[in-house]
Amino acid sequence: MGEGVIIVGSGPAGVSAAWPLLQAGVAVTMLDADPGGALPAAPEGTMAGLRGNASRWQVQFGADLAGVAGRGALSPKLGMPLARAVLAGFEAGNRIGVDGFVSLGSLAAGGLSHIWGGAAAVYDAADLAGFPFGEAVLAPSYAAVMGRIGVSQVSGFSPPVGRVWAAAGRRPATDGFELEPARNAVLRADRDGRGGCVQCNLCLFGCHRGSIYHSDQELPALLAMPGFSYRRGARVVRVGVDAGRPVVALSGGEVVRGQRVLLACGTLATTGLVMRALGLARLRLLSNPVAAMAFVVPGLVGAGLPERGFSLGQLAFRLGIGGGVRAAGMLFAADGLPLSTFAGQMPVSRPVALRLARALAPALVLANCYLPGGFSDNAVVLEADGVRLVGRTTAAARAGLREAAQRLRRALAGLGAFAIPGSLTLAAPGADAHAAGTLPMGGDGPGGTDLTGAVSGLPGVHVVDGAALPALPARHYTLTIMANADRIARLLAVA
Amino acid sequence: MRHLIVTGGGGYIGGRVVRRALAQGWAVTALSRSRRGVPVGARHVVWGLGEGLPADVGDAQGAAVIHLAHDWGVRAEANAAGTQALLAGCRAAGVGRFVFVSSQSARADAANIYGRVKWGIEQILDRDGEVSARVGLVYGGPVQAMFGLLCKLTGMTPVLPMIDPWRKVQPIHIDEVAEGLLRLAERGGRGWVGLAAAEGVAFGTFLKVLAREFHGRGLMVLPVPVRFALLACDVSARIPFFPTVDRERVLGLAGTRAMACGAHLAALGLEVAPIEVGLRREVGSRRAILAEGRGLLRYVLGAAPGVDLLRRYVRAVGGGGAVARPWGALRVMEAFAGPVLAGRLDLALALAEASPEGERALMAGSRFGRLARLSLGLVVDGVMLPVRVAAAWWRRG
Repeated sequence: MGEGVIIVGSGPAGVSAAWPLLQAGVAVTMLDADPGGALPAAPEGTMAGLRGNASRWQVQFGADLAGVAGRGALSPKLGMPLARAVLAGFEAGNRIGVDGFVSLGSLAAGGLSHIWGGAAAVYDAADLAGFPFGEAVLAPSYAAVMGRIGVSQVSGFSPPVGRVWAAAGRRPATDGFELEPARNAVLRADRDGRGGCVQCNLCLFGCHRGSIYHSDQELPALLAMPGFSYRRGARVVRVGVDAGRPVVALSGGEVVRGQRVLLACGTLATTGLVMRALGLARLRLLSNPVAAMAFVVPGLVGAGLPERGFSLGQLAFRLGIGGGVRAAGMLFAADGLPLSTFAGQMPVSRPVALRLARALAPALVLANCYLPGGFSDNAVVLEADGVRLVGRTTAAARAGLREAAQRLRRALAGLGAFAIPGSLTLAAPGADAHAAGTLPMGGDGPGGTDLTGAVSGLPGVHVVDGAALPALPARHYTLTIMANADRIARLLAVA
Repeated sequence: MRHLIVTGGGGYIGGRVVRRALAQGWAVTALSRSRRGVPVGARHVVWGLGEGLPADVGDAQGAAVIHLAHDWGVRAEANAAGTQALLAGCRAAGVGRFVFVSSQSARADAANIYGRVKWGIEQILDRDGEVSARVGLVYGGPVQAMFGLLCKLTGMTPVLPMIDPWRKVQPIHIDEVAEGLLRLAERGGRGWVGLAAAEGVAFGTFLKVLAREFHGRGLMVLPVPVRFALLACDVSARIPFFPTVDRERVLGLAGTRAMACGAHLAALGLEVAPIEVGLRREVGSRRAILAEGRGLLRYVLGAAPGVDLLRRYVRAVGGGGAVARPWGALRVMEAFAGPVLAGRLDLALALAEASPEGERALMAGSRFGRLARLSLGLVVDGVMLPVRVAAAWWRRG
């Protein structure tokens, strides 16, 4: 194989790194671990139409009914057939073991972007505080990535979220609580073969119109670029250096050489490859401690479920929890969720719980709330055969999430949405799917990388995914990972 | 074509052996008093215990014989004499292999007559190719014989008095018995071979598993002394419609001793599944899971589930057997549900919601009507609250 750049992974980071290189005329070979086999087809129609449909069970649980037992405790979407297919085989394929950490990763083409929430947050100066560069450096890359994937601000809300937003417009913002319509990587109008969102509310089952961005969508356009080659089923098991040049070994034993190797297989998999290559014993792993909570808008209890809706984040909030710490999260509607996801948590008999869930569904506002990665205490530990992810929920994280929940409760009560007692759930470390920071840019400890994500000790190997983020503010980080990959690729294209 | 002669070929085990042998390509001749119970495809020759090998049995030279016939009615010695006569006939006709179906209870000093008779017969098989199969506690297949009796008893009452429930029995599924006997018929042998689970299971546990898998209910086994049980046998014989419990069966159980048969099974290449697994092949077990699904779905839905929904429930349960007998009062039972039943209820809830009938049930009526019904449900739950709290406390304690 030639002198081009090898990109490992076809997720948001890998695709974002590919564009600037190809545009600068650098040959790119993308190695994708995708084991083949199609992901479950996204259902057509609307959630309202699916509800009474005889084939609904197939959409919700999969034809093999494997989803009935569900993984729903973390997040409703993780129990869906699409999520199960996207996540399948990740731990085994990357030799990852866990201990108190939920490892979410994907071997599928497009990776986790198939099941992300679409939240597209731009880090501000405060968010970038731990980074070795400022807003201005990242701005062009943010603009390029947003231009490619299409980001829109939510305009049509589900009834309960709409009431909260309307009430917020009438009231002045209270102590450090900011609310704004969420910005999501969702198209409003048809573009590049993707359809605009029609608010079918089937988001969690996969978007059949392609309105919600996932990086797999960009492969056809990349394949049309001269100098791009793509290999499906090429799972990288080792990265190293041979005669001063980076090399990667595939699961079949084949060795692929390139001028540079860009690791973009997701924080967890990338970290494992680098640790094994350098023999690093232990690295810090950042995650966003996260909690979920339910609120009810009383006037909507028992109402009919809306014909249209949108299951991704509708309103984004930020709030201060003291000590200069900012928590953030999203407000969602529940009208697109299976009732069984929350009926099971009610302290009443199941027949009543089911009816109660149905009565509440049109009135619910669900919130998730993240704390900065500094509140996490996780590590990646090198083992004889692979790596182990060790997670721990710190007392500070627990206290911080409780404090944030308390403030959110107060803020939303003022906007007509009242917290359901006992609904606060703290998720296990890793369940946020925001693993980051193991190989930080500008870091001078073991595993530290430079401004281009170059790993010291592995000449020519660059980390371009979440592993390279030096800090993890309480924000959704995918857009920033993409922008950073774009930024690094621009630097490498002219190097 | 291999020729197999089966005595008692219309009986509980015999019928099963004949059907399996036919499927494996044997030519089968069934010897029994009447054609009743003999599977189609087998030749039937009228024969009674006490007669020799009938002349019209066909080509007996080199054939295999599985001897199952046992006469419970006549004096015990008649079984030995009858077997002797059959064996003499077989030897004279040049039969290749003779498999005598004996019992785990076979012993010179067995507590029951059956065990002593079986042991006595084993002693007259003394040539190569003549082997006794000591069969453990057979379950599965038609609800007959000992298995039928135990099915009836475990389905009858939530508390079952039983002698010595800690005694280990070695269960074996009827199909595993049939396969084992056919392998012996093919290979022959000498002495005795054990056909039973290598590891014993307490008889009380066996009964509880049977109650759970077949009737979807818990069972409490109350230990009683043997003497009392024998008295109960006599009484049961006088109560109309109550299954009669034979003294012989009670004594057979009371005298069961552990039988080392792991090496025998290995030599035959025969796998004996645990009873939970074996029972799930049974129609009765499938019926119980259907009843459970219907009950739980109706409970969460408040309406009868359709066939498709019920079928999905059974599929989703997968290999698991029934765990609940839904005879109402689920509102109370739910509070006391352990993790297994709770899991089934969650399953029922998820499947019910995702079905057309679930959507209809949840959408029925006006907003006001739905809220009124919900309030009523919440009130009932409120009344039930002390029970739930007590149940939670009890589970934790």
